[in-house]
Amino acid sequence: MSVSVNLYDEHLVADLISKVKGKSSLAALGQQIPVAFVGNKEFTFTMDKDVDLVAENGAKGHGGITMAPITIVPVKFEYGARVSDEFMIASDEEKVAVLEAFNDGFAKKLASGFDMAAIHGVNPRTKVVSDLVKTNSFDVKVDQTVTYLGSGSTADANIETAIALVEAADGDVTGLAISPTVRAALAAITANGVKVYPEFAFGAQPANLGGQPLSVNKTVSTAVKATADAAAATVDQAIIGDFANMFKWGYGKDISFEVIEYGNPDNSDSGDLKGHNQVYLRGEAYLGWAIFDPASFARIIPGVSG
Amino acid sequence: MLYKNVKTGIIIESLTECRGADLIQIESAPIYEEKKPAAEPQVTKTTAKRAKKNERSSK
Repeated sequence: MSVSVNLYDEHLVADLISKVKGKSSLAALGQQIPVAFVGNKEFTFTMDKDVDLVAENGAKGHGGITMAPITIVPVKFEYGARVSDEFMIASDEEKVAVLEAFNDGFAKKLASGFDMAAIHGVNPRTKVVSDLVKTNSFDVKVDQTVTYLGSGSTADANIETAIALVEAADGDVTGLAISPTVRAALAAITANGVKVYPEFAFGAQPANLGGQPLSVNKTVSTAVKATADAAAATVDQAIIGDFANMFKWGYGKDISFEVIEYGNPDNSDSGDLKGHNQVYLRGEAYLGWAIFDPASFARIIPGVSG
Repeated sequence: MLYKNVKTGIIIESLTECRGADLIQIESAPIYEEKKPAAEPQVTKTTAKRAKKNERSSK
């Protein structure tokens, strides 16, 4: 079997990473770090008490430290597509054009896939909860929730309550990820006939709200399934918290690109590639992430009416 | 509704239901007290007679 495996061209990798950041709420709001392929062990380090005020000759007390190890293990995200084998005999310029188009698509899919896996713990392709990632997802780890009233007049109050929940748990809020539903609700809020948040009107997606970094993304409210046979349901309308300090993510390995000429690499009914004069383009990336303190986040979840 | 974080003791108010491992609901009734209208002064028979007397004497 002849398979050419290449690492992504350097400028395509830079392009891909910037595009992923542009489309993923977590990549935009969180902190990117290098992740070892075998995983990173990071420690959360909490000082249990405040500093002690000690009088002259006074006795000093124990402050205490709580240390908890958290391992960031990268998981594999893959996307592939069949194209005509004319790709192989095309000129270099045409090959680059195809690769750039593939890069555009792969970046979008990788960005939304990363959000879906890390927020909802699902396999992005099937939207079914995956054992690989569910225990490392916001939906499982973050138990502080506020019920979304589904009314335009209270969307901002819901956000304020979520912020209050995080602050009440001794956390800080450094970012907001909201669904298009919440964006529309904010846009609809009026006082005396005037829009309170005109920056959200007409589908606009501002990069901040009240000085806080903001990301509007449909991945926040992606409908997911608990099992393959279950009905899909939206489980989040917004996630609010300390993305800058308590969420880290990174690429675990060089992003690879393969042009596969033989076999049935997508295990599909389309059959053998050579039998159909096709080649298979495959991009793979390893992404790892960790939520260091779930209490530093709160989710706004749909009410009974959804 | 009022909720309290039992770890930090911080109380928050919310229009809607909140949940969390460290959160307990401490007040489910509306958090804003309704203002009762001020009681009107009651007019008794004696006060009415005095008022009439005063009116006559002023004339």
